[in-house]
Amino acid sequence: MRRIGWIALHTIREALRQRLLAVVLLLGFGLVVGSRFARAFNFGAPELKFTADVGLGAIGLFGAVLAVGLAVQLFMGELERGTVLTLLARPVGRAEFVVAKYLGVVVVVVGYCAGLTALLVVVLWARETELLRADAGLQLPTRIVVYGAVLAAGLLLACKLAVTAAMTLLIASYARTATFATLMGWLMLVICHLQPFARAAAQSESLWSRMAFGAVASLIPNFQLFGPDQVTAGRVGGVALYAVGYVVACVALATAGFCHREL
Amino acid sequence: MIPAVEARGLTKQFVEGPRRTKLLALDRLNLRIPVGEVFGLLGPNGSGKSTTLKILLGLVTPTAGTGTIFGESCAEPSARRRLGFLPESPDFPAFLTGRELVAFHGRLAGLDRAVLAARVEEVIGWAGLPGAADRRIGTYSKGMRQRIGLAQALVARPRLVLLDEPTAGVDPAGARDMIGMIRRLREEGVTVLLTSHHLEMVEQVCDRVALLQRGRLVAEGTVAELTAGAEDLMLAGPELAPEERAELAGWLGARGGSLVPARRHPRLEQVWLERIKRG
Repeated sequence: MRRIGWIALHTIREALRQRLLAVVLLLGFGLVVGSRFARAFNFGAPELKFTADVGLGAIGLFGAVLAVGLAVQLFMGELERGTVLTLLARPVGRAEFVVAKYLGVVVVVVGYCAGLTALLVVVLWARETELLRADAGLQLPTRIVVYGAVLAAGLLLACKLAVTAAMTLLIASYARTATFATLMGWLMLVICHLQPFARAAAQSESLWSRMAFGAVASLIPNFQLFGPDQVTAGRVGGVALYAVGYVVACVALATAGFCHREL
Repeated sequence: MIPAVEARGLTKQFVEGPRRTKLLALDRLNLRIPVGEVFGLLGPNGSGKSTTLKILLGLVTPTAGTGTIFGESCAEPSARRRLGFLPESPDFPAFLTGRELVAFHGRLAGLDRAVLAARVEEVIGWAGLPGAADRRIGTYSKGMRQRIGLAQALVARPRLVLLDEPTAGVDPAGARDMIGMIRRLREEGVTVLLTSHHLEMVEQVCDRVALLQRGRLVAEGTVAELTAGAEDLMLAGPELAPEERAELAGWLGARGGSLVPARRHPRLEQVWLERIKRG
C-alpha cells in the first residue's frame, strides 16, 4: 500500500508539471468565470441557469481532455521513456503500478473538477447576490440557486471523468503508442455518450442488430447518466456507485492486460 | 550454497507483427552465478543479453525454463527486494532532482525513513554527484544520468546489481569511474551481472563471462579460460611473404640476430570475434 502511495504521489507531481494541465486549467477557469458575461447568448434561458450550464459544460469538456490526456501521458510516458523498467525492478507488482497510476491521475482530475465547481459556485453566488440586490424591492426568496444541486452536478462530472480516465488507462495498458491510446480514449468517450442509442438499437427486429448493439450497450457505460438531470431525479448516489463499478472493472482489466505485457 | 542468479533452460520466443513472426531471442540458456561474483554477459546486438536481464527482472515472461534470484523465482516481486538495476541509457523523470529520484527509489525499495536520508547521501557521494544532486535531472548530461542511475540502483544496499551496458555513451573518464565502482561493489560482496560491448572493461572487472549468440550460450568461463589456447603466432610489423621473411631472417642472422616469433595473449575481443564468427 505504501508503494502505491509513493507512485501515486509521484504521478501527481508529474501531472502538476504537465503543460496540458496548465492549459486546461486556464481554459476551464476562463470559461467558468466568463460564463456570466456570455448571458447575451442565453437564448431566453434564465441567466443563472445558463451560467451554471455553461460552467458545468466547460468543466466536463476540459475535464475530459484532462482525463484522457493525463491517463495517456502519465502511463504511456513511463513506458515510452523506459522509466517503468527501473520502477518495476523494485519489489513493485504490476497491479500496484497500474492502481497507483490511476489514483494519481484521478486525484488530479477530481481535484480539477472540484476546484472549478467551487469556482462556479462562487461565480453563481456573486451574480445571484448582485441580482438580489438589484431587485431588493421585490419579494424574492432569499436564494434562487440550489447550490447543493450544483455541487452534486460537479460530483457527477467527477464520476464521469473518473470513468473516462479508467477506460483510457485500460486502453493504454494494451496500446503500443500514445497516439493510438489518445484516439481510442476519445472514441470511447463519444461512444459512451451515444450508449442510449445502442440500447435503443438493441430493440430492433434484426437478430444481428440485437446481438451487436445489445453487447455494446451492456458493456459500455452510459455517460448520459452523469448529466445534471440525474441530480433533480435524486439519483446521484446510484450513479456514483455505477461509476465506481465501471472504474473497478476497467482498472482490473487494465491490470490484467499490463501483467501480461512484455516490457 | 544458493547462487545469486540461476537460469535453467531459459527460452524466450517473441511473436511479432500481423504475420505472427516468431523470433527466438533466448534458447535454453543455463547460467549459475555464485554470490559475490562479477559476471559479464557478452554478445552482439540481438544475442539475448537484455532479454536475459529483463526475464530476471520479471519484465519479460520466459516461454520456457526458469530463472531464480537468490533461490526465489524472478517472476515474484519479492525477489527484487535486494536487487538494483541500471538500464541501458537510463532516462528518468526530468522534473525530479537527482536526490529526489534516489529517495523515491529508496522508498519503493522499502527503506526506513530513518536510514533513507543518510543512504541517499552516501550513494550520491559514491556516484560522484554531490554537487549536482539538487539539480533537476533534465539538466544532466548523459554521463551524469548514468551516475544517478547507478545511485538509484544502489540505494537499497542490493545484494545483486544488474547493469545493462553501464558504459554505453559514457566518456573514457566516466567509464573508468564505472569500473572503479564495479570493483568496489565486488569488494563489498555484491554480485554484479553486467552486459557490455566494452570488452576492455569486461576483462578488467569480470570474474567470469558468458558469450551469447542468437540466444544461445556459445562460451562460458573466466577471461583467462576463454583466452587460453587461443594464442597466435604472429610477426610484429608489416605482413611479409615467406621469401621476404627468409630474407629478413638471413639478414638478421648475418648480424648476430634472429627472427623471434612474437607471442601475444589475444584480448577478449579477439575471442569474441572468433567465437561469434564460428557460431
